[in-house]
Amino acid sequence: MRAEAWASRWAALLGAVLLSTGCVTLGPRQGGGAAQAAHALSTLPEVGATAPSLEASPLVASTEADKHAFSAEPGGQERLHRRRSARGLGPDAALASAGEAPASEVASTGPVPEEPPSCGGQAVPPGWPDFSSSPEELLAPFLTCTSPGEVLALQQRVDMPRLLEALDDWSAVRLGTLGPPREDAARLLNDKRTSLLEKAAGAYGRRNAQVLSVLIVDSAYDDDLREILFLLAQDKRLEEALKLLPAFQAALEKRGLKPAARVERGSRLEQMARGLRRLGEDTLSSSPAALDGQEFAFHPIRGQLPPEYQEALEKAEKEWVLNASADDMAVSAFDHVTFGVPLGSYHFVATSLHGVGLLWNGEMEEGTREAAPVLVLALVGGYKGVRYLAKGEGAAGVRLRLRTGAEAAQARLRALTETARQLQGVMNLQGLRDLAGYIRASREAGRFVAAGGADAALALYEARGNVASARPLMSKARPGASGSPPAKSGAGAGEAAGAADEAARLSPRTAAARERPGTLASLVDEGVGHTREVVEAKLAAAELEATGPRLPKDVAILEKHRPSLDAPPPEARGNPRWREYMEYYNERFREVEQGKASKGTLKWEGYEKLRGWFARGLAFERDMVKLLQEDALKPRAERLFLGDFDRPRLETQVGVRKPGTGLRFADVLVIEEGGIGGGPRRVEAFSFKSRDLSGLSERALNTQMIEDAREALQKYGETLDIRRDSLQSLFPEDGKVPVQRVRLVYEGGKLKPTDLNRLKRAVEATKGKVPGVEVLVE
Amino acid sequence: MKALSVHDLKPEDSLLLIFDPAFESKAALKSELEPFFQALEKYSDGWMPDVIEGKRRRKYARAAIWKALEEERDENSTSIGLYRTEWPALDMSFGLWFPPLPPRLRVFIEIKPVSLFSETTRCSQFVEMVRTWASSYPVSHAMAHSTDDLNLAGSPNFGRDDETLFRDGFDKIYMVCWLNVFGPKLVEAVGRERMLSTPAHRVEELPNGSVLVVTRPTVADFASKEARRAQALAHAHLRPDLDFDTVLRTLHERSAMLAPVEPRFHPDLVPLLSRVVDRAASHERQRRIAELNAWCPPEPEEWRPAGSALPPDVDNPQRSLEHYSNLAEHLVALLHSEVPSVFKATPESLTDADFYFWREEFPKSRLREAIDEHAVPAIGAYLGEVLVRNLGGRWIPRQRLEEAQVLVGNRVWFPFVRARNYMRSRQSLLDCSLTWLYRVAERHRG
Repeated sequence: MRAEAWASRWAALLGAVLLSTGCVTLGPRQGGGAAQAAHALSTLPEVGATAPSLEASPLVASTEADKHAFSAEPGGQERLHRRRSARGLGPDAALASAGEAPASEVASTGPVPEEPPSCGGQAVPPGWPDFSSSPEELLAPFLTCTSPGEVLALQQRVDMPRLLEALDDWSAVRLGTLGPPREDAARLLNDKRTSLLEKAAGAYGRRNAQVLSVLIVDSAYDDDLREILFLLAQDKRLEEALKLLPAFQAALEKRGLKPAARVERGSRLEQMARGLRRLGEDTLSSSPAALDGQEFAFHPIRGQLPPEYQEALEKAEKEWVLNASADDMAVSAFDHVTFGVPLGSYHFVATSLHGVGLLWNGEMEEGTREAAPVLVLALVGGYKGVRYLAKGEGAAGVRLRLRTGAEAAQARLRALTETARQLQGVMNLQGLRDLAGYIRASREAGRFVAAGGADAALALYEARGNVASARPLMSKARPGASGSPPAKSGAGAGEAAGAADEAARLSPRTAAARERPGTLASLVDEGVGHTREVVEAKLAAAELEATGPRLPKDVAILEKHRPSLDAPPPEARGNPRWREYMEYYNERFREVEQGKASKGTLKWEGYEKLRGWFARGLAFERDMVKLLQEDALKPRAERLFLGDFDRPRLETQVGVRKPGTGLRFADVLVIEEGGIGGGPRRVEAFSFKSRDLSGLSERALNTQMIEDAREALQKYGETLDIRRDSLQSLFPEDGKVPVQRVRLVYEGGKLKPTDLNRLKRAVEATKGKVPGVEVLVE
Repeated sequence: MKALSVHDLKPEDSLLLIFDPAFESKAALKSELEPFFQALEKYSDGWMPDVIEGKRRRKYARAAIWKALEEERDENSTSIGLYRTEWPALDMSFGLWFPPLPPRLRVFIEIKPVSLFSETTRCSQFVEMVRTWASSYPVSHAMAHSTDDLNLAGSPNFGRDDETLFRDGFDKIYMVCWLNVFGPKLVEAVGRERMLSTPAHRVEELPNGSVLVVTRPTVADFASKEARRAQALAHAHLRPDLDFDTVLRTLHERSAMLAPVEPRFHPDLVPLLSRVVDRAASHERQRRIAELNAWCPPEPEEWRPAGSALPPDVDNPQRSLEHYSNLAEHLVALLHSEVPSVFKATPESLTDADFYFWREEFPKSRLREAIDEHAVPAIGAYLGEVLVRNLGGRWIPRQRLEEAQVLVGNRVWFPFVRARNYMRSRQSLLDCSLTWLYRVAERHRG
């Protein structure tokens, strides 16, 4: 059941990834960018329906949106063969030229490669590109890139149209799988793609042609695909291609395109005649001799296919061997490629399929795996992570070394996971699905995200796929994650309010109209481990603990009181969390129906209260994590909390498992990374609580503190089974880790009792009753 | 049968007793504890508990106590609460620790207000109760004193960290309270004779070797000159290493901190500041009043003369106004459950909001990004709306929120800038309060 759900999520995201990973470019202002995009659209009549919507961001975005979306003039056909000399521009220039990107946005794309150009830490060979050299040599520097962003940047340094012209069809298709194309090269790329589609069946056999066609679909944006279909139809080859390559048609349909509708009625007879003739050719070519020849021709291509496509091909061949009439069944084999393991098409991840497995089993906590589809998007937004990582590794030469072998795979995976967490933190699965759709819709979106990473992806989401509207939002799309306040204030900040909000949000009617992500999003802060996953898990735990009034676990009663989105009670009117409450209510309702709920739903007031405390608790936790992080950096003698460690390593929100309590997230685990001299490695767990202790009676204070300490000990103390694979290498193989001390830290300030005698008595009592837990009050 | 919590009363001083004798039950628990409750019932006139709380709340009765202690018992301890349903408020807990914990009684009593103990009889009854208890249950140290004074004195740590506190306890005479029971160890450390010759209202050797020292007949006037002198005399006597004058000076300083201060707040800010003061801990209250008496809010800077207002630069002013109104609505959404008056959008609503943000320590306890991105625009818009509605102001919309202005009389105000300044810190909530800006704008309405 879960697996199915997954599959469908993957399916929804797949195209986005492949496509966006495929491409990257922002043509210079004078000839590229929006103008050409508009032109590309104008050649395809039905595209009008996808014109960018401008509903979002009335104040900020409208000006820019107008500029970008409407001021573009249809370009001339001469664009197709325009030559341009290499510009030697970096990614900044690319961004800036593409739409007057604000400085902050440019800055956020990460370090700019200095001269000489390089990709993935490898300098481009001197003299590159030499247009008289082989396609292999022309393509090589792109293949060393570690992200679509780098591919995009590298494209700015060369005369892309000329380079593309120098490539053979297959090399061009390969280039298309690496990152979004620069706009002025896009049409040429699509020409080459079309050409390969047209001749592949004859040259390599239908089966091989099918896999190529699927790869092309997967690595093209929606606007590319429309163009390719148009070109095929123009050449009167569309119907034939669809007939010969059922996998092609299936892949297109899964992308929501209806290729069959484009087959021109008028030319039908002619086409059928042609198609039949070609079918005949194909049949002929299926003789063993011809087959061998086709296979021979396909051989070099085959080795360069991403592993999943190679696998799919093998599968198709096996089916064909098993079942002589399996010609058409090949479709199902490619089905698997298309909707099974989309990660692979991105070449650098593709090099380490085992790495994907690694991600599955390790890097992410069990509970976090649910969000695996996000990885797909991480590929898109991985640019910054990869860069960061390369930088973070420090010493010179490390980047080069990183590029090969297991280390590189590890590094990439870590970077990807990081980005995945970031994205996963701020939106739900439906949101991701939508985002995937926005990205794959156009090259422009692909380039925007490839250059801007996760921030850009979020901004794009916020702007509902409208790239022009997304630009001004970008620097503020992800509260908290950057750790810095928004670069722009004023109107921009006000407009971004819809992105993810805690304090106050749009009125329900507006919210309903815009389908914004839930307000929980504002609580996400990956810097301290508060991913969406963790936030939700913690909220669920807090909900169980909440003492507010509840409705009983009775389906009839719950049905009767079921809240309505459009008709909140007066006290909830205009409250940004009303929608969230509805979701909570409905989810609990389902659980009650299935007999899985342990408690009924909280009433609205109780839920509001819970959320207030919850937000406060997370804020406190965040502050404490930062405090601990600072503490860890101090010389040992000066540390306030971590003096018992030689080299403390802090890990936040670590999934830990204990018999009876299941999977929990320890707020912070501190692990000795220094020498351990034979003894067990020192481990301490921290648990943070925001609880109003100020109004409690002496007895209630004691009871509460003891209860909290017991819970902390039970969940995070004694012996833990640490689930985070990256930590497991530090510990014995069974993963059983003794925890020397658990510290329970309460938020102070107005929450703590004003009388210290009372407070210290409770702390002392807790110390006596729950040894192993130390209580601190901030 | 709702118990009256000490926290329900306005912040004022209380009497605190801490009594934790070693106690190992050898015979029937009930018979061993009888004397304790007998003494409690006999000497607690005026503050006698009337309800007890275990798993359930019951009327005070011996049988109910045994029942509750039984109910609450876990593997190594039990405890009950004893409260009153009427003024004065009582917070009392009675607990027992059993092996393997160090076996002992844990008794805590807070009676509020301390002024109840200005009567000599009530005080001497209280002393009698503690004397009886200390005679039956030998204690290493017990004390009763003003809660405020204890906190100002740094009790219970007296400058030590928690680890040392829990390890050493009250291992020397850090402080002399109104009522003190010094156990044999402390008596020995000081010297029995010296202890028994302490200058005090009452000094009595108990059968088990402890010494009871009561500095004065009453406790409520602990901060008076005479009381401080008595306290200093006793302390210097028991701690010959301390200088009497220094001890006395310190005590007088504490008294000064607790001496009532008449609030003389800025008239525009009385409604806000008096609520701020009410949130202070009782032992800090007077200092807080003095601080706020001296404090004067800085003149708001978020304005320009009307003549140099920024001209509107938006294409669709109506849309901007709707936007501001929407943002202001966000604040209503945010606050209405805690601050219902925000619906009214009056100057009083601003004061309520000021107090709310201050009380919640909003700038510190919420995510900075959430504040900057959501709270600030909402607050700014709301402030602007209040100026518009109550002072006949007019929005001058701008593309950037920070440049948006409200024209009132001969000034234009920048409510979003104010909101940003306002949300910088807890102190800036007072320095740049919404209330204050409103009042100044009102004065310059012309």
